[in-house]
Amino acid sequence: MNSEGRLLELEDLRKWFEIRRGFLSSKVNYVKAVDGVTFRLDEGMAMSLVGESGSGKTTLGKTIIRLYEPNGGRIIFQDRDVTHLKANDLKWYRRMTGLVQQDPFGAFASHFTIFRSLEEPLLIHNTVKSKEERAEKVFKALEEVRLTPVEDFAYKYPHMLSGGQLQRVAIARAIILEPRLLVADEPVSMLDASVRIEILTLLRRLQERLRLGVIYITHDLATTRFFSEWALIMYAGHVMEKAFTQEILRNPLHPYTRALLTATPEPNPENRNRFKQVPPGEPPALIDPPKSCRFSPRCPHAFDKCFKEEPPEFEAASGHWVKCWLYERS
Amino acid sequence: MSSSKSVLSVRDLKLYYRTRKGVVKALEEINFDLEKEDTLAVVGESGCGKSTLARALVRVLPRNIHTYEGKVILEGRNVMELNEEDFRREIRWRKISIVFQGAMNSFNPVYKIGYQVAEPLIIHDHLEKKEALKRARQLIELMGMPGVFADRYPFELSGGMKQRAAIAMALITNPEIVILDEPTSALDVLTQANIINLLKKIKNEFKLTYIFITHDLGLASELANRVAVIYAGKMVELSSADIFYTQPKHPYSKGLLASAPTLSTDRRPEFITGVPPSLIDPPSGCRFHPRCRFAWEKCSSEEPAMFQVGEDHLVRCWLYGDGK
Ligand SMILES: Nc1ncnc2c1ncn2[C@@H]1O[C@H](COP(=O)(O)OP(=O)(O)O)[C@@H](O)[C@H]1O
Ligand SMILES: Nc1ncnc2c1ncn2[C@@H]1O[C@H](COP(=O)(O)OP(=O)(O)O)[C@@H](O)[C@H]1O
Ligand code: SF4
Ligand code: SF4
Ligand SMILES: [Mg+2]
Ligand SMILES: [Mg+2]
Repeated sequence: MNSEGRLLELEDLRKWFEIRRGFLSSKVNYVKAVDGVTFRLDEGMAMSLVGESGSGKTTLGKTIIRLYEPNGGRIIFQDRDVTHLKANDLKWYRRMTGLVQQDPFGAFASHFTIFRSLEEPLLIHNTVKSKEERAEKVFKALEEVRLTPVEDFAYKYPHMLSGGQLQRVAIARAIILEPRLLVADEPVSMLDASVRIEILTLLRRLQERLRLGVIYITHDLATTRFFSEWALIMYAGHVMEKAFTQEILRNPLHPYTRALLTATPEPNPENRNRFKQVPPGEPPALIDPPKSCRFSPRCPHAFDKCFKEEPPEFEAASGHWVKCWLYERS
Repeated sequence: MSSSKSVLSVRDLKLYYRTRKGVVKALEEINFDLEKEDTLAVVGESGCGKSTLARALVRVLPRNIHTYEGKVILEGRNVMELNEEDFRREIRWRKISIVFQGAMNSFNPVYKIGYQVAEPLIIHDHLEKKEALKRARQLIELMGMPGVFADRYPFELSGGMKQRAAIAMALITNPEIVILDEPTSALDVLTQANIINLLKKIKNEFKLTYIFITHDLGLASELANRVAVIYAGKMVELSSADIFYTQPKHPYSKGLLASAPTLSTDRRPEFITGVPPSLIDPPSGCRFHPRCRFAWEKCSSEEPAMFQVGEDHLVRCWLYGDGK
């Protein structure tokens, strides 16, 4: 693995949302959206964060870049503890991280030109003083995301661009302050298949060229393969499995990961002649998730212990972690 | 003209919308035949006219229609000639029904699910309410939901459950043909797989014919025995699924297939550059020519017809046409 140094480390990170039943009620419930996440990401590497909706991916992504304040655990960024940064330090951290969100159509102010939208972060962070320098940065960012000739795009308004083009602008905006870490939260799930691959290929090139750390959030396991070194599978706020992407796809160990793999459709005309073996049911509510294994109500392999105790993460093979009692060594 | 075995034949179906910017040529020269228990997948990128085709077949149209013509032959009869009253009474929901795109979000929040599933029966068959509700409950159970869900309100159900209810609603009038417009696109993969299993099961049980609209070629192969690719309002390839998935011919079809990521092979997904054109002023000649890497002069000046390239395989591309 890359020896140049670690970019990001999470230790038992938690983000719980407070829910009050009625505003006078003193009883507080928590939505345990991210409940103990540990991993490490090196510079220039991409990690896919895979899970169904409601599994906590967005919450984790936003907590990592400190749009949310964690309730527990630690975030170490470039050897610095950023878990509870405040004020100017937090502003620095914001500059070092970027976010691309799912909906390209809602991402830009409709009365701003693309140029103005891209200039915004430069103005807020006041990193470059002169107008000329700002323009240079904006054009360079547009070039990075291949919206060329840049003059053609800079003065357009959002409604004049396609979803794929807008998502490129969103990426340009996310990298304009030259961050070291990019969180891309379902950046392609609203786009057509062909455009998806185009955008993911672009992200991959940027990651390699700029040595960016990338956290690629997706519900589609099939797109992780060529676009990330690492994969982390989330279910109901827990990390169920993590390993090299290739390893997870070739040798999935967790029953949930296996179910995801089976369920992911692939073009094959023989599919119509068979039923898919997938567990029925739906993920649990995170206000009151199962106290033991959170997948146990749906798991085809569940046994007694699964309903009593929460499994820790077992290292089933070197660098391959699984949160499942099946991999406990006796 | 339509083959004797077909339950549905479509001939030269055309639909244009009127807008302030001009006429949107959303659908043109659509021709296909379906036999009983076929599943035709209609695939293509968004904006290519898939939902327009669905709406044209069940004649649920917005007001800004500019042109709506062609033949839709059901059991030997051209139902385009029926007036709205007869079409509503005999065809829509009775012979051919639809699960609209985004159906699970279209339930009325103030009525119980069971009532809404039963509604087509009450309105169209004038069935007594109690009887209709009983049938709705049975169908809801058949969809793999607890019968008590009939008494719940939409907000009390998950997306997957609402989509099952939407399917129940499309089936309650015992149609022969069901159009499924992106029936799982907002759902998670496990939920999606469960719903696809359900669609397979009820197809066998009720001997249904499906038109399955999706932009996902992997998903299409879960149900389809036939595939129609549409691009910019026109069909560009039509064949059996077995041939389509192994020997696609049209450059657009090949591009779409190449962009579908797979887990079981080492093939790196590729993409088609560019985006589908505006249908107000579509490209001359072959509508795909601005994005096609095989295009030559003829492609931008002359429009290709659907050429026969195999027994059951049509392709709209000059590479397979006369004089090439
Ligand atoms: N601001 C919030 N307040 C309360 N609950 C939230 C908030 N944001 C997300 N949640 C809940 O946290 C859980 C995880 O949500 P999210 O992180 O959005 O998942 P994903 O991105 O995987 O779909 C869900 O149950 C969601 O309803
Ligand atoms: N009511 C309408 N008025 C005008 N244009 C429409 C209307 N509905 C759809 N269109 C246009 O028709 C084309 C085909 O749309 P649609 O059938 O929804 O495509 P798909 O389902 O393949 O995404 C698109 O260009 C779309 O913008
Ligand atoms: S711990 Fe038990 S219930 Fe949970 S995934 Fe493993 S086998 Fe299934
Ligand atoms: S007709 Fe020409 S432009 Fe159109 S798909 Fe065939 S080769 Fe490409
Ligand atoms: Mg999310
Ligand atoms: Mg549509």
